[in-house]
Amino acid sequence: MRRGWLVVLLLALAGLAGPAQAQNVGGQFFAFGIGGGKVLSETNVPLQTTGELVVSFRGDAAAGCAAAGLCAYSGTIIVRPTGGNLSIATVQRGKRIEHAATLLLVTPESGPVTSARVQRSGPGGQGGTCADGQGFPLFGNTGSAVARGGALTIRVLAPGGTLLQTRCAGPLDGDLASASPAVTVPLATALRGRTSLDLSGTRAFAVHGFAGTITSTLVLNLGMASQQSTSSSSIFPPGVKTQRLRIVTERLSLVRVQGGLSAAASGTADPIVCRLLDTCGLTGTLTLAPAAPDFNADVIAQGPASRPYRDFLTAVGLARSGRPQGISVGVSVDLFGHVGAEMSQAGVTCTDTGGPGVVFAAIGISSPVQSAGGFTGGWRTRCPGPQFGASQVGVVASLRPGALEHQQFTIDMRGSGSFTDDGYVVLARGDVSALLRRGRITSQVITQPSS
Amino acid sequence: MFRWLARTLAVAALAPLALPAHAVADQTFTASGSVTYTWQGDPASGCAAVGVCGVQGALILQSQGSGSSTGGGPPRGTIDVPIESTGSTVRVADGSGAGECVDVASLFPGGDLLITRRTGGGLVGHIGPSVSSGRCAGPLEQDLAALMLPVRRSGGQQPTFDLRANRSFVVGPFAVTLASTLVVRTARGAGGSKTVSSVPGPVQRLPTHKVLLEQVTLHYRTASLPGTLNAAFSGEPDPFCATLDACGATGTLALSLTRFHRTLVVNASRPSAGRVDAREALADFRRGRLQATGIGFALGGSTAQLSETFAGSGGLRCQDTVDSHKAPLFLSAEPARPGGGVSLVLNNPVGSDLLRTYCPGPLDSDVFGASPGVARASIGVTQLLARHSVVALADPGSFAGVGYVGSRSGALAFSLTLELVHAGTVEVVRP
Repeated sequence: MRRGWLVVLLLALAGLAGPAQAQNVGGQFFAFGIGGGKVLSETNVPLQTTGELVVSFRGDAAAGCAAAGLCAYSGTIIVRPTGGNLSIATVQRGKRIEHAATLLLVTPESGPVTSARVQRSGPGGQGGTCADGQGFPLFGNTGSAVARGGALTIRVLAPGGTLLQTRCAGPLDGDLASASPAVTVPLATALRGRTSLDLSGTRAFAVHGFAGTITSTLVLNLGMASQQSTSSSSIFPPGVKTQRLRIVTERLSLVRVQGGLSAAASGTADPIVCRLLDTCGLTGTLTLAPAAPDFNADVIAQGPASRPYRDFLTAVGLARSGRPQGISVGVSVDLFGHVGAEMSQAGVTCTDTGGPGVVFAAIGISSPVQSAGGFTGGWRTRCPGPQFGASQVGVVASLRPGALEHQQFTIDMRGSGSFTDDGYVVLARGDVSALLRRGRITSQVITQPSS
Repeated sequence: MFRWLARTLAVAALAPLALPAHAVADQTFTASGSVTYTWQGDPASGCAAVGVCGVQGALILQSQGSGSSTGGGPPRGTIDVPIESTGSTVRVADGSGAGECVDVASLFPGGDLLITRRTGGGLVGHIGPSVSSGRCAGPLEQDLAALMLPVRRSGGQQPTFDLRANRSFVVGPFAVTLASTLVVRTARGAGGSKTVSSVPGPVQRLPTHKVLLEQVTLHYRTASLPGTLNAAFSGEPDPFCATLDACGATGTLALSLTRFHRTLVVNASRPSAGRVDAREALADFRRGRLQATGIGFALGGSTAQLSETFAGSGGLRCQDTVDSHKAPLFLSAEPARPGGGVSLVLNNPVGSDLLRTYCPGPLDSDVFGASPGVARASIGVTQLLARHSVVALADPGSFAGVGYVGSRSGALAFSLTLELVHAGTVEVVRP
């Protein structure tokens, strides 16, 4: 992904990641999420925004609200960023040069980028109002920016987007993609910056149980573009001692996966909290669909760059002649899938399959073996429910002793314990067992301040 | 996006697990659980006088994962674990039935859970800074920062700190409940290391040289005079106002300072090829040949008093006056145009909540913008050399913040009495 995101996310992750995340990394790191191509350069265009995007919606029978249990909900979602960043990476894939773009919308001042107020009409007039806001969720406030054929298309609401995402019931970004404000400009114009992109307009929609209107007065005012070459060497202030570290990464492919993970969610018992979020008496289950999951897994070894390469290979079990002592080894796993929800409140059940959800886990092989993991990626559907940012609890992963000595090995991920998300209490459940096959190895050397 | 995020999280999760020994902090801890603040107007605490008896609100902070101790953790030091306050949502209903105020804590800085040893010997936990009810009616930042959590320590070299508690407090006109499920544990495998990684590497000394400065230094006795900085505000047009439940709302803010005396120092100088005497330096100062700067002072010992009135469209009528003995205001003298004297600026650090009372209303950043300057006044050379003078610091104009728009007016006045003048040539060492 792109540097703008990296900076913001690493800031957010500083507390999670510890000192190792302060390292100065080379261009390959940013290849995450853009298909593994080599990032040649990156253009960042800061932007200021004016206006807002307002989505007014209601459960609509013609749009199928009854089947999903969404007829009781109506509300307004306001998206009001004040700034952000458009990042365009030039990527080489084989002999082809492509561009990958990312749009990030934020509000640098305090205050919500997205706020929602959703009414639930209950039997006998017993309903409630869910009020929620999002300032800067860890998984981002992203629209869609697609560079193709010398043109850049920016779409505010897009599949996988998070601008409409709150804990209240309502449409997903992807539902409204076809009605979303969008603008297409020559890529060269965006790369230069210093131009305005008008995303204003009003469109009606009726999809996935909801009908309503999108009203946008958003204008993106692009600032001066700055280009960074990712081949530039690491630069630290004079006098700062640095150390070079080698990171050896071995890709793992999925042979088969069994089981599934879920989160049992219920509204908190605190009467003030649950009333303000309309979660009093709300219970349900979110499930990461186990069928045909998307998967990402690596074995990662890290140590001083002065050590022979065979030491790293020995540490990950691919050689026997080196000395593995002092090389840290870990296995990281991400399980992607679509989230299914079944949430009940006051006799009404909302059933939906919605946006993406992710379970991640990391196992440190160095003695003693340790693991950390959790739920992330939103886990939002059109039903009311919690959203998962970057909780490092809820998933325990394990690896059998000596697993790395084999070409294939199994990693087990187990839902464990409970955690909270604002007005929700969540209980992690389930098991996933994944058989992994070892694959391609890459190596990179980074420079970071020495300890 | 999610793919990349998951990758980053997994790698981040690996970091504390698989770091080489030399990169491990003194002790690393992981936190789990959350802190829930709820509040409601309390008749026994005077909510009727403020007009907030119908107010109910909530703010929940999540633990973020791992953090480290400084100096080895209690009893030797402090444990500092990040808490998710950036993006935490404040929700407040004012009882009028009109709607709910929803606000989000600021992006920077985040909150921290600090475990320290109390003077009496016991461990105590508190959350801070920058946690408040935002633009909604509720407790102030200083109120929530003062709330303490009990800490029960168990375990030996790899301790666990249990901060689970359910406590009630009275904060201004509100009854506040603090429910904590926080537990801080030593990260497995990370405890016991005695190597501290936070010491920066040696920094090369830069070469220095001596220079002569022609300089005039002026010492003033400064005293505050009666005056107020005012802001009149109203909710933004629909739909912007809806989030904060500010549609149709109007209000006023008035900031004043109680009387205080301080010394203000103004320096004016320029590099000089040779030595000049006092008379020549003063003459050059009068001619505007010296660049003036100043040494300011904090108003920490004085009280900033803020009065607010708020009228919501749903019937909420709130009026409140808050005395802040911890007002972070400081007065500084900044260079004006070359030869043009100085600008006196009253600064309010970004992120503080100087303008907040227990009523809903705009934040400092809404009224004053991103600049820390609250009010300013220019002082020319002639006035700087006067025995007595009065300056009025103001910054009138309109503002448009999040949910609120309005205008600033009024001024804070200060008297300046010139008490001491140094003039001549000084020798300084510069890089």
